Amino acid sequence: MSDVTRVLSTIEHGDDQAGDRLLPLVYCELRELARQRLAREKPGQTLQATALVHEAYLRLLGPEGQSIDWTNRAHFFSAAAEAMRRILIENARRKRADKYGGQLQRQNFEAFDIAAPALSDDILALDDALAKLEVEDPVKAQLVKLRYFAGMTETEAADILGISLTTAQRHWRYARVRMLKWLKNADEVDEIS
Amino acid sequence: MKQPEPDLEELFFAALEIENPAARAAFLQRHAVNERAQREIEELLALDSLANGFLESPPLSVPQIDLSVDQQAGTKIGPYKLIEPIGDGGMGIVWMAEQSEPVRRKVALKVIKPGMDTKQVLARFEAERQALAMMDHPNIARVFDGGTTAQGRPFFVMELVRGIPITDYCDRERLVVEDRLNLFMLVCRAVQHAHQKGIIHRDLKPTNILVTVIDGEPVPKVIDFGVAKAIGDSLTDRTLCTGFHQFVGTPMYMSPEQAALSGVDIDTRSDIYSLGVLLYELLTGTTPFDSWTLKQATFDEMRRMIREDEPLRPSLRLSSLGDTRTTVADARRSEPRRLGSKLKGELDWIVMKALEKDRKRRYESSGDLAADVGRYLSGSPVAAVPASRTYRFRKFARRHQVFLSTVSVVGLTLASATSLSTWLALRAIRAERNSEASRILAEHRLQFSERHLYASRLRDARKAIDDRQVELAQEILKDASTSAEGNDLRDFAWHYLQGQATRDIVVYPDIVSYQGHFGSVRSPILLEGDQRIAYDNGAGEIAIVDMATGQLSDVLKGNYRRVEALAVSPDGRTLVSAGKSTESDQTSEVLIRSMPSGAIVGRFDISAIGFKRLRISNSGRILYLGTYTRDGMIFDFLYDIGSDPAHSKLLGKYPYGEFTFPTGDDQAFRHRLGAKVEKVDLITGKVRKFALPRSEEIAWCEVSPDGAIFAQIDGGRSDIVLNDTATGAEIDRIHACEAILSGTSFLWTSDHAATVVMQTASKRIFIWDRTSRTTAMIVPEGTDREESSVVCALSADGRYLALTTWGIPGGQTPVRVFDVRTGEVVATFSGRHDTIHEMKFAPDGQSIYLIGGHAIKQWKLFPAPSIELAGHQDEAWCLAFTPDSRYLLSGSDNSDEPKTLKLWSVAGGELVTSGRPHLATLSTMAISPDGQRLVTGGLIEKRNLRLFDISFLTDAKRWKDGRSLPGRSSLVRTVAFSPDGKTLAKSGDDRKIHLFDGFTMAARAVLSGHTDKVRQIAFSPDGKTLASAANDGSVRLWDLASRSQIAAIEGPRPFTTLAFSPDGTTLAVGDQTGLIRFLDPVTLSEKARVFSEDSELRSVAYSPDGRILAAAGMGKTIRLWDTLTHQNLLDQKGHEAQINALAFSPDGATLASCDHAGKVKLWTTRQSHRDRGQD
Repeated sequence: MSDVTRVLSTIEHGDDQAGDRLLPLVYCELRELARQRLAREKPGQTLQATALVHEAYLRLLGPEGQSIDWTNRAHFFSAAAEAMRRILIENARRKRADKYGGQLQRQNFEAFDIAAPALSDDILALDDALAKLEVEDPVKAQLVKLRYFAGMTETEAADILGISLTTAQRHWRYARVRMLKWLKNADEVDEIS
Repeated sequence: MKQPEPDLEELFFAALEIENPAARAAFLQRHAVNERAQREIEELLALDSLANGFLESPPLSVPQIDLSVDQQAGTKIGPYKLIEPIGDGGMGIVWMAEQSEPVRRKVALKVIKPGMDTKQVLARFEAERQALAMMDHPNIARVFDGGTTAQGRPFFVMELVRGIPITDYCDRERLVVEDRLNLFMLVCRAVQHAHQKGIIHRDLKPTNILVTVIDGEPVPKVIDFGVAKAIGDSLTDRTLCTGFHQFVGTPMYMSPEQAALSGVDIDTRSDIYSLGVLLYELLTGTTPFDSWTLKQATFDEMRRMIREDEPLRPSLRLSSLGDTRTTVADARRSEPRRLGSKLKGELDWIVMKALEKDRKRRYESSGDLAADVGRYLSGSPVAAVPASRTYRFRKFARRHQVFLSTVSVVGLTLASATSLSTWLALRAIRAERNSEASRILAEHRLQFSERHLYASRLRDARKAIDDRQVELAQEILKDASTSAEGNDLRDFAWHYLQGQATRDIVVYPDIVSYQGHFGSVRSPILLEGDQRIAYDNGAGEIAIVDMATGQLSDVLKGNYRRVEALAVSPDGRTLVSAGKSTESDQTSEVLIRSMPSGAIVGRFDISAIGFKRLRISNSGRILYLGTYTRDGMIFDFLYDIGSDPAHSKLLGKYPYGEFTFPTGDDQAFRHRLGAKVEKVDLITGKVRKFALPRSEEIAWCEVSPDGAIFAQIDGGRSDIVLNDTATGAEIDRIHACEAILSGTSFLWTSDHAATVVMQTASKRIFIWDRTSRTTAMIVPEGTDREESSVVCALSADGRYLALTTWGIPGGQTPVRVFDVRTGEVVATFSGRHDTIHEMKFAPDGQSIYLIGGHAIKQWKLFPAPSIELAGHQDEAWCLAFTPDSRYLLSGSDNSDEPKTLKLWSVAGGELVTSGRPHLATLSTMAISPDGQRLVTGGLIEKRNLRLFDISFLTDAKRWKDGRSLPGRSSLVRTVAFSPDGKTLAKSGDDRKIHLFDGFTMAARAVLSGHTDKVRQIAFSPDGKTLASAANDGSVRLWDLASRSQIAAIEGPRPFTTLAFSPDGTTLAVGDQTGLIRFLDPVTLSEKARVFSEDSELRSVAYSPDGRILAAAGMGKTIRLWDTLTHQNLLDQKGHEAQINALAFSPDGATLASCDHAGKVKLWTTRQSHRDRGQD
């Protein structure tokens, strides 16, 4: 039984703290995975978050993964989405710090390089908006994380969140406009400072 | 936790169902709980249509380029066996390889690095293959083959060139400039060959131009033709974004259109640009934008620089290189100064033409570029110059210096000066006896052609000023100021034009120097009360420019690698800078300086790697720093730097926010996105809530200087709200009709009226005036372009708003200044300029500092016209300056105004006093060389000559003290003092010249001979002779010792005016036909003549340095003539009546003129206080 399966099963058995133990595991795995993949992959290929997450899933859960129930899958993918989010945010922060801190040390970064220079800022702003959404409506935020950071489809995400596809679609639509609004405003704030 | 807002969401979806906008609005009005909710839903609905695609694709990650080499020596790629790697270009690794079939030969094989679509690369290569095969040029390395390795990577097979990059070769061999140019021409011709075959290189740079030595001769070879094209397109968008290293082509050599990433739009002219960069580097050792500068820039900045920033001319660049200059010059077997003057001029022009941003203005082909370099080498005029006769003349004169006789040089250029040339030749022949003939002749020729060029440059400058191309004019004048030999050529005309050219805009010297890279102007701040600007010069130093003098007044060095932020206290006495210290990556150093001395009074380290904002409280006591830390966090710090600067005390550390300081020093406001405004106790550093009634998130805030009013942009972003800081009550609200992007400027007056300039999301500018409660809207030009950006500035009195938009085709819109009250445009600056990123009004609001790129310019908004004195009511006839140049006297007719004599202050232009020396027209006057005595002559028969003591010039009563000539005589028309002041001469209607004692007016002698009225007399500078011009048509020369006439000439028409040159070598006389003759002062033989105009001349005057003769008369135009070449330097219009007299001030700074309508004007090179404006 893999570590993750073990953690998942403790969650199943009501150990609330276990969730906290899941994230670092997924995070580390994803990170490592991404690093390896990037080193091996033909450069120029873009790395799909979905593929990464699924690969992490297979690796972390091993053969047991096939038989795991949807609650645990939901736990895992939520953790994975969160992990991906953190990885990307970290990366963006570093790039941003670098941007302001001057010096061209970008080439030293180990694995990730966000596609466009502007995106590192975007992603931070996006994350801010996501944080607000989380306060306002956690389910919608979770939906965004799953879809955006973990690359889930509508159906997969709806499945994991245990909501209907229609609801997921509706949530998705509303979450996007809410976030867009904040983002728009956030841009403007940047202009001021 | 805030509850979700189901009503909003429900309404949103319900409203989505309603397609009709009116129905939708009505629906919302009916159902929304309040207006705010309605607005919010409307915003969401609007966003919904934009949201398509948003968050749809997960964030992509593009991996770093894999630098690993998967080929090894011995690997076989097709018929090629890799032998050893010989280079690592940007795009791939180059191997020396051996081809086994069909021929056995060594080739260069370039394996393209991973990252591109192999199929496309090869398809493109195939498409070009035929063209590539047609290229057959000794200076182009042939491309044989292309294919795919087993790993799927494209490779290219090329002729093996065993050479080193052209720049390295030139430096290694220490080639002189000429040799470098010869090599460069070969490269151009090779590129031309390829262009003729329809092949563009796209990546010309030194590493693609290798030099091999064949039979002792260097042979450049251009490699990689067709390769960049094959690889290029697939990369442009995607890879360009991954960072500096994967740029297609090195950014240093990239043309503006390539940097624009428009992709499709590359043609042969891009190669010409790259060749220009290469030439730049061959000459100066650096590229126009060096890698250091480009690396410092962000990706977009870098692209912007390439597209917009004008690089320094090579000669200027060289002088900016600092210590490196010597090395650069040494590699060219020269010294910095010599190399600089070699580059200056033609080579600068050639390079700059190749580097034109607008490719239409570049050379049309690289063949043309080569030809122009060839012309430079052969000494022919180059084409790279806007057609200027002067320049061609200079080249011409220089080339023919040895071969042409003086006569033909002059004859070709100036028909009217033939007699002068004869004179020169005569002098030369005379000099031949002492074997210096050729030297003197050559000197004269050189001087002559120099002056010709100079005269022509002045005319160019004049034209540029008339066209309001003042910066161009300044550049031309700068160029014209010294000769190639380093002689200072500046004369009155130059200084006058310089005054005109700098009247509205002053270009401060290019901010250059420092370790071989560009200086730059970053985070400029105005040091209050002091017309100085401090800025980060990009080299870890704070430079301070004095705007009054235009000089770099100070460079404050710290041990910074880079200055990150600057702030000055409101009283201007404390300057704080923050930057990365040279010692550590992790910390930054904050330096506190006392101004204006710049002495460091305190310092501390802070663990930050970047700065968002520095601000000093009004009292100067508290420093606020918004910082970025290494892990990307943002922290705000408050330090007490005022109590004891040497030991700054940390008051508090806060998560991300923004501080605003009211006047009082005990509290600050702090706001954070999405949080309530807080008050911070500046004694303890403690934070309290500051509850505003509408306490939703705010986007921006500011406190009025007295701390009474708190202004904010509310979360909805359409309102600016003013609150009372004490009670929190809302006291005013400004609605902006559309989303506010930023509160650009907020201007408070003591009674809390405010002028607010707001920039909205759609880049419109709203000016809101709280007193009049009016809102004005300005739509800046060029904002329909999405990438455009508006720069604006508000004057300190709130009266003027300056606006410009950049990021548009053509760079930037003209800077316009609006009167905020009327919305009228009061000034427009449309001269050439670099991108202006920042504007600041000077404290007096009369000028604007335009800051951008590498220069600061001061634009004077309201230049004064030439100084016009109050003048006379009647015809003004005569002028005289006091020897100290401080006062000007003018004399006039007495028909309408009895006071015929007026004394003016030259500096201020005001009337000091006036007098009435004669009961008639004051026709002539002269001041003794010692400045003690004034002699006046009147058109009257009695008391027509008076001598005044003017040692107390400003005392009006003194006018009466004049000693007067007893008895009766005829009307006096001209008077003069001898150079020693001991003799006084007068003449007029009586045809005789009377000589008097200069102090007692005792009669000394009478010179007779003229047969009609004498118009003007003049003593020669040595005092030995006196010249006179009369209506009898003659000019006579009198010897004062023998009191006899020694020479005379007669003209067909009467002579009207005359003047000796200050050195006494020439007597200039003007006549009724407008002809000026330059006469030998001994024989009166004619040396040269110019037709100044086609009407009567009334006055001629030499400038004190003798370089200029000013002439004017019935033609109403003042014409300035160069006294060596007799070229027209300057025509100055402005009088509306015939000009009766001209006079230069003895200091040479001012030319005075007076006319028949009584107007008296000063044409000055000085900037008088009147220039400061009309306000």
